[in-house]
Amino acid sequence: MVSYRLTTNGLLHTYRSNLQGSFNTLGTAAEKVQTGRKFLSYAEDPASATLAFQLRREHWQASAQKRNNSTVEKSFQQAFSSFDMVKNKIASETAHVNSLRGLNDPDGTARRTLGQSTLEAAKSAVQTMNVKYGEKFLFAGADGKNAPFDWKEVPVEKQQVYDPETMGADIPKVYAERTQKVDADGKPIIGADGNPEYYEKGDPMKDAEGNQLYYQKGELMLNDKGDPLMETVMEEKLCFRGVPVDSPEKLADGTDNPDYLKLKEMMAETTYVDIGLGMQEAPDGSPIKSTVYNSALSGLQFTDFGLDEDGDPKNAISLMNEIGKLLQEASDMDGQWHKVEGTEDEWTNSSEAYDRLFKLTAKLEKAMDKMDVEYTELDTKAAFLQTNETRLTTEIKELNEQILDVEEIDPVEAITALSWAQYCYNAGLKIGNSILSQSLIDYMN
Amino acid sequence: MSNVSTFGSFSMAKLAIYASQKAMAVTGNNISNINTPGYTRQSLDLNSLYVGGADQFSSKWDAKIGSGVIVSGVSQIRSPYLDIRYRTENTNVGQADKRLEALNELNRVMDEVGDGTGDEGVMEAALQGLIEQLEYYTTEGAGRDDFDAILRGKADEICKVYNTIGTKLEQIQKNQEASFKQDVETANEILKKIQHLNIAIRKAEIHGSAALELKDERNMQIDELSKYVGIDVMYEEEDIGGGFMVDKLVIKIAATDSTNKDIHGKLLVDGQFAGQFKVEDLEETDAAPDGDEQETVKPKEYKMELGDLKDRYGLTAYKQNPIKATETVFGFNMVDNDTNSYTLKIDNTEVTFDANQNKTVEDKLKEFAEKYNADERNANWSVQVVSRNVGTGSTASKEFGLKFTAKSDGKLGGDFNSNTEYPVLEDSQFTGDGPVYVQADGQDPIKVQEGFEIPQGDITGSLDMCKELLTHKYDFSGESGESAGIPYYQEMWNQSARKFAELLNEANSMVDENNVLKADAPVKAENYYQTNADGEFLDANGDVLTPNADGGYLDANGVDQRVARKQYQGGTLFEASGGGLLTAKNIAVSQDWINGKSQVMQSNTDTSLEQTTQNSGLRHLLSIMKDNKVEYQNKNGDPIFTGSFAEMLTKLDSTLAIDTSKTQAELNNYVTSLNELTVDRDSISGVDLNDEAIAMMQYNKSYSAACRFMTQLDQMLDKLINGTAV
Repeated sequence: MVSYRLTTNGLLHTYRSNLQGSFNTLGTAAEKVQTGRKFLSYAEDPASATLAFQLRREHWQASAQKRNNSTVEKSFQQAFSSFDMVKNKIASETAHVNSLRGLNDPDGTARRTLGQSTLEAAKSAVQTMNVKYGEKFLFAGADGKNAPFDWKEVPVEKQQVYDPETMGADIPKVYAERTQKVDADGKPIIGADGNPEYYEKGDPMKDAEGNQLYYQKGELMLNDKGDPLMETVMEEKLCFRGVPVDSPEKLADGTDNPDYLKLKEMMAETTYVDIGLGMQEAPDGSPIKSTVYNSALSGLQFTDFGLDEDGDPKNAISLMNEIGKLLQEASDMDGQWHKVEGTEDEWTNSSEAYDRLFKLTAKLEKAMDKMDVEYTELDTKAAFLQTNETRLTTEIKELNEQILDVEEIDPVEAITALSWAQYCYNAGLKIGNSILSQSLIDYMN
Repeated sequence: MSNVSTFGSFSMAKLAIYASQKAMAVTGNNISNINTPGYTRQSLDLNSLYVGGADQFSSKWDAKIGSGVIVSGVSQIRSPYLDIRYRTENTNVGQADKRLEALNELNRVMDEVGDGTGDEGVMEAALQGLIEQLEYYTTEGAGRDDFDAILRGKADEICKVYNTIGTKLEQIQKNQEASFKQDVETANEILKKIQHLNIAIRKAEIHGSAALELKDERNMQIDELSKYVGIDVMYEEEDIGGGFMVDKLVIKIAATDSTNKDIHGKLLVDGQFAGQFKVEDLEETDAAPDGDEQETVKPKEYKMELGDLKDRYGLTAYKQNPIKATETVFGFNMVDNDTNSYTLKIDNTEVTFDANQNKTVEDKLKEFAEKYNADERNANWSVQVVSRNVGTGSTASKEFGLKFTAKSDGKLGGDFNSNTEYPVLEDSQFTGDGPVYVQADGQDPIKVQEGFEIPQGDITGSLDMCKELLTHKYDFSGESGESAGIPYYQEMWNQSARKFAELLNEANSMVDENNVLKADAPVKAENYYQTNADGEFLDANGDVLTPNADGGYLDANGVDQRVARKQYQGGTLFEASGGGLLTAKNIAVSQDWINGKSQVMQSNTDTSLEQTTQNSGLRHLLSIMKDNKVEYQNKNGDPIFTGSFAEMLTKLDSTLAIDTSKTQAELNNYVTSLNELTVDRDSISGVDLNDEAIAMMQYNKSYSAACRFMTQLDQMLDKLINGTAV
């Protein structure tokens, strides 16, 4: 037998709690309109709040990744334009053209000038490859604070050439290898045991009369064991981060050349950045390469390093330098090459020099082919970064929309809800007035 | 013929006038108290009066007429059923309200929705800020001189947010403890008030008053008490002698589990006696007494008890009717050589005496006594057969009984069954209907209810909820089914801070605590140049390198060991300010980092080359900040959550939010229900102006009618006296 009798206080109690509820609803609806948010606390809608934070986090990350992408892309564009200059203007249009002109110069008189121009081109290539983006040298691999390419005097091991002025005395000549003894007619000398006789490596070299021979000026020397006599001289070389780019892979003794290993390591340097490929690390803390992007550019990759099978540089700039030097060695008078005693030129007459120029030109072309490949590669990378930026922009936009969808109110809905709450509250107030005024007592006489 | 009285009907009229007048007064009282909190509508108890019964003049043709109305008292109109429902619901409200109050406090600290610039949240923004800077320096800032200071600033921001949260959580815990103790005080005050009201009501009832207003007050106090603890309320009759009974209020604990007899049904109030809650702070243990690095928060343990039932002077209540004696005699009115059989059972001993045993009473009792004393179970008592002489002369005889002597406290009771009535002797203690409590000399009397401990979760209401909030560690405890209290959030925030510090510290150093290159360091020893205690760089042989103006580092031979660059310099980034276990409250950027001895390790790439813009160290830190595989464990080391630092915050926020949302919904339900019950209760017990207006009209009319009746009688008598036979 409950609730059959609604009392004055019972009615007021119900009214009071309902009015409070109505006022609360009004307050919440008003706050939603004021803040523009669907929920004002985590507890109000835990699922949406969790989703909203997750989306915001993704939005934050995507924005950072876009910034990263943009930075890398700009630096690559800068690198592209510099390398374009080196490849097309300096190497192709200047150095290569110069060498071709040097080869085809009818009287050779322009060779020295061409040489000068080519040397300048090589210097200019170095300066261009030392381009900076922000505070970072673009082609320096992972050492962006230091300019990568430089012409430096470096110690070079060279086989010594006999020069009586510096040597001070005649030095006996020795055999470089085991050599069969022959008589004046050139027939092998047979020993008492019936076998041919030999000069051993390092044995003094004698003429047919048995007189000791001595080194002549300009001759390459051997030590008393018959091995090349080496000396260390300083020579200006193109260096990458202090290491000569034309370092041979092996040392004279056949061991690995530490400089070459350094160059190899420097070429493979990486600085990975997060551009939204899902950056992850392997358990050992190293990055999983497919999830990160390598932003490091190494000048070695673009211009090559080391020596080829002929012992000539592979590096395009070094080749330009070599070509420039060779052209400069042509005579002012007749444009031909004349061997000067005591020099270490790899030619002995003009024809050989011409052949060498021809060879170096071909090698420069080969180096330029390699540059072409790298040029295309860089272009592809820049294109990928552009696409990636578009993807990230779309992702950010979509995330933004999702965040708005989860967090932001629909103004129409919110204002309608507020109006309704206001209407209910006003109606509630009116009812209150009539509740309080009515009872049988008011009608009693 | 029934008795005829000339003025008898005047009395009837007088009683009718009196009844209407009283009824009007009750109506007036009801209207007056319409706004009095707790007031219960009163009504007048009216009974029809009939005087006389069969008398010597009665005749079957006689018409027996009532003598009017009698006002027998004023009573309240209450529904015990609604009171029970109201109080049960009020317990739920008290419990949910207390929980919600604390959760809201936690929300004020932890809820990041709508906080911070652009509604990004505060901690969330701090964490993302560090990630953002790491992204920046990884991409274009590696090698810049300012990166370390900027990252330190961001890290400091995170530490400060952790500190604020840690401090505030501790404050909430302290506030909750104060609130718990205050609530216990309030509940005790209520119990005292009820006890005093019980005494006052008892006195009033003995003096014939209904004590309705006191009962109203008492009902209000019981309602209030039900917020703090779940209760069962009962009214028992108390015999105060002379066949006069008064109500006795008994309030018992309604335990969470009604089969838990240790708690359920225990007395909180028993008439003039009441218990008091006690809370004892158990000694606080160290942060990690067992060297458990996992656990950083050891919340204070509380022992909640209900004390002995005591009277209003604080004296302990004892069993109502203890026999203050060391011995008691049970007498049996049996006869020798009985032809009937019967069984005597006292305490643990039972003996059946068959019919026609040809034994004397004395022999039978001796047989019983012997068996009783031999039984080891009857440890509290010893028994011997006693006799007394009754009657004199030819009626002289002997009666026999069993005299029990107490060896210690204990109860004694038994049955005496036979197919013939052999009443026990009149002055015997043995009544045969229940145990008799006997107190041994020099021993404490038996308490009505001894104090006892109330374990967590065994009772309902806000007191238990307070304790739960103060002690529960939920997931962290590794026990299933627990709800999250404040220590859970403290513990998880501490773990969050600690994981953050530990993982970044670990990633930022390639040496162990002894400054030796770790076995799993990504760099080979020949490529790693560590620093000494003064922050100077050492070469592979441990010799100090000398920095030169070009930023190089020269060895003893003047060779630039540039590889000993700062990129490898890492070190501790975070530490516990003031030492001890690292917590949210004390996490700080390390002094070494501030002093420059530590810095963010830019590179961890194994190389002998100089790599001024190598970013592998920074990228590794970035990966850790974003890694969603950070594992958080409970105190047993079992994983309870795996995710990034930021996801851990979301997990904590959402755990709190879901709890809050659930508690809010529960509270809404309970409050709605309570509101309905309030109205329902009011529909029975409340004053309604319409009702009272009707009553006024009704009593006004009945009053007028009674007066009219008296006038009519007067006129009739006037006719009889003055107008008859004139």
